[in-house]
Amino acid sequence: MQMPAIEWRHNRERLILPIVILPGYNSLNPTQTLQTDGLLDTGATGTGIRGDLARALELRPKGQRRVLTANGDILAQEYLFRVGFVCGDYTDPYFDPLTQQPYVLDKEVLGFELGERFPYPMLIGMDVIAQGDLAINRSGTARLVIG
Amino acid sequence: MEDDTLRHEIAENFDFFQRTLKEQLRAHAGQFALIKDRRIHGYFETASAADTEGWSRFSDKLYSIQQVTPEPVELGLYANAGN
Repeated sequence: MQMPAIEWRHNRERLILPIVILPGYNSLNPTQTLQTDGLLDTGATGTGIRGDLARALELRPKGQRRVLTANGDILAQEYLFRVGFVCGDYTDPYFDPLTQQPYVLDKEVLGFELGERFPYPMLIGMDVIAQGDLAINRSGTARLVIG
Repeated sequence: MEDDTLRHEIAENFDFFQRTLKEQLRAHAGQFALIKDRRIHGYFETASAADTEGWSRFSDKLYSIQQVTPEPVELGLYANAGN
């Protein structure tokens, strides 16, 4: 059986992927979805969501977490949400992600709130990346196998 | 207003959680604590399980979840990016 996978081109500096975010199962709007860009960062131990996105999804804070930044520890709100990937081969010019259903990970993510100045709406950390197999190729492509 | 009440509950619970963390680490490291009114209402293996319990048990939905860990989240290179 073929595992769900995403293949895409990276710019040799960053790994950025289209991500689908859904509120947690215990929320007032669990089927709402929002598509955005996520930065994959293997140096981050957790996953973050920017405040504007959390508000757009009407996520309720579930707790707080200490986050280590260049300016020291800060306290950030935590939210429970689900992460999905629109699988397919983005290097194929005929691939249309809009026609695909996202593959949503079973496990909810307890993610912290990113500051408003964070350059990406989502930061995908090792808690999510480690649920799949990530390969970065010197040819300029990357592949994430999930599920 | 409801949001402010929830954030206040979470902040109060976090204060309690931090003060009792050392004690909790002995038996519950890595688990997720369900907290309401500065009291632990159980430990769970996943955040989802703690949330499901809190969501069904507390009709006012005023509770919080904290992972029993002394470690902060690390942001790697992006620690400098303005969080």
